[in-house]
Amino acid sequence: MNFKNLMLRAKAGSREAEKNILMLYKHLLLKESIRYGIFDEDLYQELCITLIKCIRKFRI
Amino acid sequence: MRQRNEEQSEAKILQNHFTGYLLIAIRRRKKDYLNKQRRVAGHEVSADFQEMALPDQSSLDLLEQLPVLMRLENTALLKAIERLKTPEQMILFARVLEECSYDEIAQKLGLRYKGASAAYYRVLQKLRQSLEGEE
Repeated sequence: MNFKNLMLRAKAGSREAEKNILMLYKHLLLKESIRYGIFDEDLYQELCITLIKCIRKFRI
Repeated sequence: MRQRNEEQSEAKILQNHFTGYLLIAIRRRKKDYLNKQRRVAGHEVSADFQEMALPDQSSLDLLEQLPVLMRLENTALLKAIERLKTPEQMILFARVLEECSYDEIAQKLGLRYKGASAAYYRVLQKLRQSLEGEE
Protein backbone atom coordinates (compact mmCIF):
# COMPACT_ATOMS: atom_id res chain seq x y z
CA MET A 1 0.00 0.00 0.00
CA ASN A 2 1.35 3.35 -1.08
CA PHE A 3 1.83 5.83 1.73
CA LYS A 4 0.42 8.67 -0.34
CA ASN A 5 -2.74 6.70 -1.03
CA LEU A 6 -3.04 5.87 2.62
CA MET A 7 -2.59 9.52 3.53
CA LEU A 8 -5.17 10.69 1.01
CA ARG A 9 -7.69 8.14 2.22
CA ALA A 10 -7.02 9.07 5.86
CA LYS A 11 -7.48 12.74 5.03
CA ALA A 12 -10.73 11.88 3.26
CA GLY A 13 -11.93 10.42 6.55
CA SER A 14 -11.23 6.72 6.27
CA ARG A 15 -10.91 5.27 9.76
CA GLU A 16 -9.21 2.21 8.35
CA ALA A 17 -6.44 4.32 6.74
CA GLU A 18 -6.01 6.37 9.92
CA LYS A 19 -5.60 3.16 11.84
CA ASN A 20 -3.00 1.91 9.37
CA ILE A 21 -0.96 5.09 9.74
CA LEU A 22 -1.27 4.87 13.51
CA MET A 23 0.06 1.30 13.34
CA LEU A 24 2.97 2.55 11.19
CA TYR A 25 3.96 5.10 13.80
CA LYS A 26 2.95 3.16 16.89
CA HIS A 27 6.49 2.24 17.88
CA LEU A 28 7.66 5.82 17.55
CA LEU A 29 4.81 6.99 19.78
CA LEU A 30 5.50 4.24 22.32
CA LYS A 31 9.17 5.17 22.41
CA GLU A 32 8.35 8.83 22.95
CA SER A 33 5.89 7.98 25.75
CA ILE A 34 8.55 6.53 28.04
CA ARG A 35 9.61 8.87 30.81
CA TYR A 36 12.45 8.01 33.18
CA GLY A 37 12.05 4.39 32.14
CA ILE A 38 8.32 4.31 32.86
CA PHE A 39 5.63 4.12 30.18
CA ASP A 40 3.25 7.06 30.58
CA GLU A 41 -0.13 6.04 29.19
CA ASP A 42 -1.59 9.57 29.33
CA LEU A 43 1.31 10.88 27.32
CA TYR A 44 0.82 8.05 24.79
CA GLN A 45 -2.83 9.06 24.40
CA GLU A 46 -1.84 12.68 23.88
CA LEU A 47 0.70 11.68 21.23
CA CYS A 48 -1.90 9.52 19.41
CA ILE A 49 -4.20 12.55 19.31
CA THR A 50 -1.29 14.62 18.00
CA LEU A 51 -0.75 12.07 15.22
CA ILE A 52 -4.39 12.25 14.15
CA LYS A 53 -4.24 16.04 14.17
CA CYS A 54 -1.05 15.93 12.09
CA ILE A 55 -2.74 13.73 9.49
CA ARG A 56 -5.53 16.27 9.14
CA LYS A 57 -3.23 19.30 9.01
CA PHE A 58 -0.52 17.84 6.78
CA ARG A 59 -0.50 19.29 3.26
CA ILE A 60 0.48 16.89 0.47
CA MET B 1 9.77 0.45 -14.55
CA ARG B 2 11.50 3.79 -14.15
CA GLN B 3 8.19 5.46 -13.70
CA ARG B 4 7.28 3.02 -10.98
CA ASN B 5 10.53 3.71 -9.16
CA GLU B 6 9.89 7.41 -9.28
CA GLU B 7 6.45 6.84 -7.93
CA GLN B 8 7.87 4.83 -5.05
CA SER B 9 10.54 7.39 -4.22
CA GLU B 10 7.93 10.11 -4.35
CA ALA B 11 5.92 8.20 -1.79
CA LYS B 12 9.07 7.77 0.32
CA ILE B 13 9.77 11.50 0.20
CA LEU B 14 6.21 12.24 1.21
CA GLN B 15 6.44 9.78 4.07
CA ASN B 16 9.73 11.30 5.21
CA HIS B 17 8.19 14.76 5.15
CA PHE B 18 5.27 13.55 7.19
CA THR B 19 7.56 11.79 9.68
CA GLY B 20 9.55 14.99 10.17
CA TYR B 21 6.39 17.01 10.58
CA LEU B 22 5.01 14.49 13.04
CA LEU B 23 8.24 14.36 15.06
CA ILE B 24 8.24 18.12 15.60
CA ALA B 25 4.58 18.08 16.60
CA ILE B 26 5.21 15.19 19.00
CA ARG B 27 8.22 16.87 20.62
CA ARG B 28 6.20 20.06 21.16
CA ARG B 29 3.22 18.21 22.58
CA LYS B 30 5.50 16.22 24.86
CA LYS B 31 7.22 19.36 26.13
CA ASP B 32 3.87 20.99 26.88
CA TYR B 33 2.68 17.85 28.63
CA LEU B 34 5.82 17.58 30.78
CA ASN B 35 5.70 21.27 31.67
CA LYS B 36 2.09 20.90 32.73
CA GLN B 37 2.92 17.88 34.87
CA ARG B 38 5.80 19.75 36.48
CA ARG B 39 3.53 22.71 37.25
CA VAL B 40 0.95 20.44 38.84
CA ALA B 41 3.65 18.71 40.88
CA GLY B 42 4.96 22.12 41.98
CA HIS B 43 1.55 23.15 43.24
CA GLU B 44 1.12 19.90 45.08
CA VAL B 45 4.43 20.35 46.84
CA SER B 46 3.67 23.89 47.94
CA ALA B 47 0.34 22.71 49.39
CA ASP B 48 2.15 19.96 51.28
CA PHE B 49 4.65 22.39 52.71
CA GLN B 50 1.88 24.66 53.94
CA GLU B 51 0.23 21.74 55.68
CA MET B 52 3.53 20.82 57.27
CA ALA B 53 4.28 24.39 58.27
CA LEU B 54 0.87 25.34 59.73
CA PRO B 55 0.95 23.40 62.99
CA ASP B 56 4.44 24.22 64.14
CA GLN B 57 4.72 21.26 66.46
CA SER B 58 3.56 18.71 63.90
CA SER B 59 6.95 17.18 63.31
CA LEU B 60 7.52 16.88 67.05
CA ASP B 61 4.09 15.36 67.53
CA LEU B 62 4.93 12.99 64.74
CA LEU B 63 8.08 12.00 66.55
CA GLU B 64 6.23 11.44 69.78
CA GLN B 65 3.76 9.17 68.07
CA LEU B 66 6.51 7.02 66.69
CA PRO B 67 7.62 4.27 69.04
CA VAL B 68 10.52 3.37 66.75
CA LEU B 69 12.15 6.73 67.21
CA MET B 70 11.24 6.94 70.88
CA ARG B 71 12.82 3.57 71.58
CA LEU B 72 16.06 4.94 70.18
CA GLU B 73 16.27 7.21 73.22
CA ASN B 74 18.80 9.12 71.24
CA THR B 75 18.23 12.75 72.00
CA ALA B 76 21.17 13.74 69.84
CA LEU B 77 19.49 12.16 66.83
CA LEU B 78 16.15 13.76 67.74
CA LYS B 79 17.79 17.15 67.98
CA ALA B 80 19.62 16.59 64.71
CA ILE B 81 16.32 15.76 63.01
CA GLU B 82 14.71 18.83 64.56
CA ARG B 83 17.48 20.97 63.16
CA LEU B 84 16.72 19.83 59.59
CA LYS B 85 14.57 22.07 57.44
CA THR B 86 10.96 21.06 56.86
CA PRO B 87 11.47 19.79 53.29
CA GLU B 88 14.49 17.80 54.42
CA GLN B 89 12.46 16.23 57.22
CA MET B 90 9.77 15.43 54.70
CA ILE B 91 12.21 13.59 52.45
CA LEU B 92 13.67 11.69 55.39
CA PHE B 93 10.29 10.67 56.80
CA ALA B 94 8.92 9.79 53.38
CA ARG B 95 11.87 7.53 52.70
CA VAL B 96 12.47 5.99 56.10
CA LEU B 97 9.03 5.87 57.73
CA GLU B 98 6.55 5.76 54.86
CA GLU B 99 8.98 3.69 52.81
CA CYS B 100 8.23 5.63 49.64
CA SER B 101 10.27 4.86 46.56
CA TYR B 102 12.45 7.60 45.12
CA ASP B 103 9.97 7.85 42.27
CA GLU B 104 7.14 8.74 44.66
CA ILE B 105 9.30 11.26 46.51
CA ALA B 106 10.45 12.75 43.22
CA GLN B 107 6.84 13.11 42.11
CA LYS B 108 5.88 14.78 45.40
CA LEU B 109 8.69 17.30 45.15
CA GLY B 110 8.62 17.80 41.41
CA LEU B 111 12.14 16.41 41.08
CA ARG B 112 13.63 13.70 38.96
CA TYR B 113 14.46 10.28 40.33
CA LYS B 114 18.14 11.20 40.65
CA GLY B 115 17.30 14.51 42.28
CA ALA B 116 15.22 12.76 44.94
CA SER B 117 17.88 10.18 45.75
CA ALA B 118 20.57 12.87 45.84
CA ALA B 119 18.41 14.99 48.16
CA TYR B 120 17.88 11.99 50.45
CA TYR B 121 21.59 11.26 50.65
CA ARG B 122 22.34 14.93 51.31
CA VAL B 123 19.91 14.80 54.24
CA LEU B 124 21.63 11.68 55.59
CA GLN B 125 25.01 13.35 55.27
CA LYS B 126 23.74 16.41 57.08
CA LEU B 127 22.36 14.22 59.88
CA ARG B 128 25.66 12.43 60.23
CA GLN B 129 27.64 15.63 60.30
CA SER B 130 25.38 17.22 62.87
CA LEU B 131 25.57 14.05 65.04
CA GLU B 132 29.35 14.11 64.88
CA GLY B 133 29.33 17.75 65.88
CA GLU B 134 27.12 16.85 68.86
CA GLU B 135 29.52 14.20 70.12
